[in-house]
Amino acid sequence: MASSSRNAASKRRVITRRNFLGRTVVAAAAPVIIPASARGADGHVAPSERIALGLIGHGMMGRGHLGRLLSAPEVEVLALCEVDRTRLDAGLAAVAGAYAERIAGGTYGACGAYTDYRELLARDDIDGVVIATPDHWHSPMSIHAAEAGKDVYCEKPISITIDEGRQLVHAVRRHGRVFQNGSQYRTSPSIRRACDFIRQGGLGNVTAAFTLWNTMEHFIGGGRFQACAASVNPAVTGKYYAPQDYALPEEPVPDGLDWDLWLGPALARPYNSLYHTNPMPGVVPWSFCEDFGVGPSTWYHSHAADVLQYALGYEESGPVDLLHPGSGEFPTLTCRYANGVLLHLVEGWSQVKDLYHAVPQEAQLDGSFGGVVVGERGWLTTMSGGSGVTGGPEELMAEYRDPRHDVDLGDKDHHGNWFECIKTREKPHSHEEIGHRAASLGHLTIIAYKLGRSLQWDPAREVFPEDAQANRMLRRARRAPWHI
Amino acid sequence: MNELMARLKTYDWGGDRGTLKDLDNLIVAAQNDPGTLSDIELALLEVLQSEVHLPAKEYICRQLALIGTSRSVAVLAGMLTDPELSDRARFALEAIPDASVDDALRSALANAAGVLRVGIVNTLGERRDPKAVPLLTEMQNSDDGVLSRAAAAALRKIAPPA
Repeated sequence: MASSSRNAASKRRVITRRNFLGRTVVAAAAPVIIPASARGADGHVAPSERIALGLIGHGMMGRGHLGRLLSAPEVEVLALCEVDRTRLDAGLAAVAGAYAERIAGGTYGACGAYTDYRELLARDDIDGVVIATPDHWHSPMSIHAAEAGKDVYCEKPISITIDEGRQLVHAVRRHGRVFQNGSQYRTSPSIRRACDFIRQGGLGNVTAAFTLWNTMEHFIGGGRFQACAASVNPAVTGKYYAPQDYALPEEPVPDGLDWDLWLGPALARPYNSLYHTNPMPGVVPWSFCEDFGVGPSTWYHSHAADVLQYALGYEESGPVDLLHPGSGEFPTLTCRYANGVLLHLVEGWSQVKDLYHAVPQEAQLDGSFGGVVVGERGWLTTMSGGSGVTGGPEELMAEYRDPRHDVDLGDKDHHGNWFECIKTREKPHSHEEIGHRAASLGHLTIIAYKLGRSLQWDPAREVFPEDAQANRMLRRARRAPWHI
Repeated sequence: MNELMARLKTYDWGGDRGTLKDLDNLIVAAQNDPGTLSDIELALLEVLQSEVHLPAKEYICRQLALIGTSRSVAVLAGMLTDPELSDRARFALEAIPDASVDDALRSALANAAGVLRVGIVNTLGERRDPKAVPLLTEMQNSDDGVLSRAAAAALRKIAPPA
């Protein structure tokens, strides 16, 4: 794990053991009644049985994660890490509110508060961490967490390069950790049912699939970019299909933000609020900048890649060809898998009808985080939001709705699946290899777009055969002293 | 090309990223044209060695990561001991598939200190340079904890434990 010479002690805001003991001494003056919940009665989980977790990153996604963790009886949140003091304080307040009874009852001491995640990872009383930082931190933190013996739930995409994703997989395996990629739609029973139906041959032989990949203008064309329009130039760079490097002007670093730690392994650059301030009501403000995020992969494609590669039976592999539209083979960038199935990237669902004529005009296609799969017998969507799963023709859908295609996932959601696997040490629904392959599909797409040409890919060796230039894009140097 | 390089020379923080689009496109279009690629590389190196702003130098390093050859190594290696440029130089050097890069990185270790030295160690590890093993083995025993941990990590990459 990398270390810096930063004065960590000055950053740390954890309530010290002495303070904690001081509080318990006051409490001990009164008769101590240990509540049933603390003893594990009445269906509650005894404290000794709870999974002790830390959360790293309390931005918009982190808030959602923290709420989920605090509502889980089998979990106890022991620590938060956030480089922005305001966000850290908000997280601590949420923990204090959720655990008010436990705190009052003396069964919960205090939530550790950290600016530097390495201090959180150094605690030996924490079983796992949820990582909800900007993308460029996902792999380094996950690797360092695995090395520290923590199980990991990491937001998607889990990497910003294919190489660091592979190194993450190695680290998780080497240290025997339980890793969940944060692509929660895969755990949705309706999505699972659609994918299983396709995998079991419900569509006959699958011939093609479709998912979304838009230009950058959908993000950087937004109002919040107007302040930096002279630098970002949405009219020009918005036409790119891949995130870019930008030289945004310097703004004062907000009080309480450790910008150096926010940057971490990324090349140094001055602070600008566009990277950091959440674009209400959206999320992931940094994702337009290639040093911090992965553009469309961050927004939706890494979800879709996970779901579609599961449906197509390639969740632990990848395509063998990236066919650039410049080749003339297809009108949009297309991934070809070893069995010949084509995954076409489209800019809107209407292109599935108007450009590829793959489904009837009356087909209802909306939603995201999945796609449309077309086979010999018909078509089916694997999307969330919008109309949910749709398909045709009607005979096929009648078969699809047959109860025998129900998928029993139990009562666990995506986080719950991870909690369960922490106890059983089984692989979660979207484990490290699946997460890596889903992120990789986005990285491959970006490399093909950036090079402006078709590419061959060897998913077993994870190299572009005989293509030295494309292979250069598999990895990126990190700012010193950070390494993985 | 001259006009594109002139645009690049004025690029600074807050600069219009759109003005570099034509240069982006030129580099992509030249992928199968070694002569043009060579011309671009030399033109970029000339700008890199001139008095231009940091974002321009960074842009060049990103492009050299893609198209740089042994011709770029000496210029980039010369930046390894510059606190402002070292990470950017490694961004390019780490990606250039030429043995002269490893030679240059190993040589630079002698003159680099502190975090810059750690960065070079990290890049040697990522490049899996077997000739760096004796140097890294020595650094693994350094009193500088950051350096010794980086050296240990690099050694694990070059020669993973069985």
